Amino acid sequence: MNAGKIMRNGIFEENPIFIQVIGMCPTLAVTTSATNGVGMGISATIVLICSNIVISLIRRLVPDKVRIPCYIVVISTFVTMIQFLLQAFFPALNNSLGIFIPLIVVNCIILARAEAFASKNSPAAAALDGVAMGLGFTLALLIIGCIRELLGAGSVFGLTLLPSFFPRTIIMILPPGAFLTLGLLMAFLNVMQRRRGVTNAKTNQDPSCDGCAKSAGCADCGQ
Amino acid sequence: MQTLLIFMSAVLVNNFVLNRFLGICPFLGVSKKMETALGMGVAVIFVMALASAVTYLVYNFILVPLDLNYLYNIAFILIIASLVQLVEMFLKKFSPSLYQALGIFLPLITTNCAVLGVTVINMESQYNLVISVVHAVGAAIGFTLAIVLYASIRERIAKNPIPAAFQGFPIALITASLMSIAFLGFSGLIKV
Amino acid sequence: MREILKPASALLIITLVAAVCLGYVHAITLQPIEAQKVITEKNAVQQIFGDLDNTQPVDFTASDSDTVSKALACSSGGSVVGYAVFAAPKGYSGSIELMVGFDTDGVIKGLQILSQSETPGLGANCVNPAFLDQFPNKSGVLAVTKSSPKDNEIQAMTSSTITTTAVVKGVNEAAAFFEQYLKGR
Repeated sequence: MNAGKIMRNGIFEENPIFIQVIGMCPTLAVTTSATNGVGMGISATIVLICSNIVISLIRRLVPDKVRIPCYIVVISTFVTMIQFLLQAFFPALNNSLGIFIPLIVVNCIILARAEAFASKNSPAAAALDGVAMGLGFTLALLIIGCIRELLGAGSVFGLTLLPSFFPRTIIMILPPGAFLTLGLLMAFLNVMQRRRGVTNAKTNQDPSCDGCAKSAGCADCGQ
Repeated sequence: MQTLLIFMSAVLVNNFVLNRFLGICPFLGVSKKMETALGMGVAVIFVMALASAVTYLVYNFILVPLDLNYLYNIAFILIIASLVQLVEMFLKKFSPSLYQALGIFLPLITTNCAVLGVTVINMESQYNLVISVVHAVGAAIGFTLAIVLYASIRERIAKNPIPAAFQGFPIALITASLMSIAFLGFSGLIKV
Repeated sequence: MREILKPASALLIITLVAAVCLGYVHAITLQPIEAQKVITEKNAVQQIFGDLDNTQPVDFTASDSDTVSKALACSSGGSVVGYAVFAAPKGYSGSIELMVGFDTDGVIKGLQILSQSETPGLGANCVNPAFLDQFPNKSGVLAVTKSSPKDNEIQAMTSSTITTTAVVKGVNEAAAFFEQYLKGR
């Protein structure tokens, strides 16, 4: 697999949010502002790159039976490190991301990449995959965050853009706005893909578990 | 009274799925059929109650005395993972019928962020053992309520013509959005 | 037996290495984390009281107050000019750490939010002057109102009644604390 393909895969063809539809919790929860979305994206990307490298390095040493617990330990170590660093140097961001920092551990994207890619490839390729998937994730959070912040608070990255007479749609920064924004974005992507004549089986289907690390044991896939 | 308030607010006002965005993956993934949704819900109630009790004990009687509370994240996720395995083995051996019903959902629960989420929230709010478990059960019932309602709506959606662009995820997310609006109505119920 | 021992020891070794690494990172970030807290506090005190000679922690038994965590006696030019009371009421998402500055008579000199995790664009607006500037020169028990605030009322932020109520509750508890411990010292 060459570098260009790995990058394209992560950012476009297998974008974790829009195509694979995994890692939904932080995507919906922290995108109340563009800053929070990017902060979350970068934190998860760093964890993803580090854990991908380490898991790729230890992939031959870990017995198959305990591989998932081992991956989880590696991931949660990096998550806790990120948490310390945010507390020490970006306390405001740490506060607004709140509980979703420790919850990066159970972000399906990271475990899914560990299982599907890092455990089968060299450290260099795994690191690149981490960068690509992380960028794809960050990009998705940035887009959703910008839309919600612009419509809900009239600003982007805290800079007021909409004139004050333009009504703020507060529902956009409340929980329903998160579902709505993502739903409409995906419908838009569907239309674009139809125009280009690509029928992307994944987005047109019902929610799938393709990216899920546990898909073998998953009730939904077994159906 | 305080206990009841925490319980009710976990079920309705701060609904884990629709308000706090915890446990979205199973919410979207296992909600095509009412039956499976209910099974997942019951399994989550069980695991969340157990996990919050065990993590409370481990945190307060092992991590805090040793001054290692910064290791909570690793400890909690390992506890949840091994607890799920234990429950699975236990059910397989002693209650095959229950295992038949819930077994397939258990492996999924380890990566359900609602479970890790509830243990972290319990720790941060400094709830005691009883309140932790009550909060966890409330949150899990809230999860079950949301996923069962959602599954019943989706069963109906599946029978109706949906515009091509909205088929699959988009309509599912917009349905969730409308449910979330409905649950916002509960926010006036309890004064925090 | 071997089948159990090998995976178990592998997992144990990985966990141990992880714990040691974390302990190390924890040790080196501990100081910056503490330093951050001190800087935020110092800035907040300075915002309200200006330059001070000295701040002295006030002793009180912790169990007396749920939300008040700390109080500082602030002195300038050799005499106490006021008190900074730290409280952390529960907001819409997580606790809101705030600091209320009182003059020696118990009149609010200013309010500062030290940390909060409220919704950006809604509750997070509580750090803006538009909201905070309602507090100075008020005293006694404050109440929340939706429009046209009277003497002892604070106007709620749009769609953020929970955050407003939480902040006002924190301020009221700080005021109660002042009445109990600091008045007439």
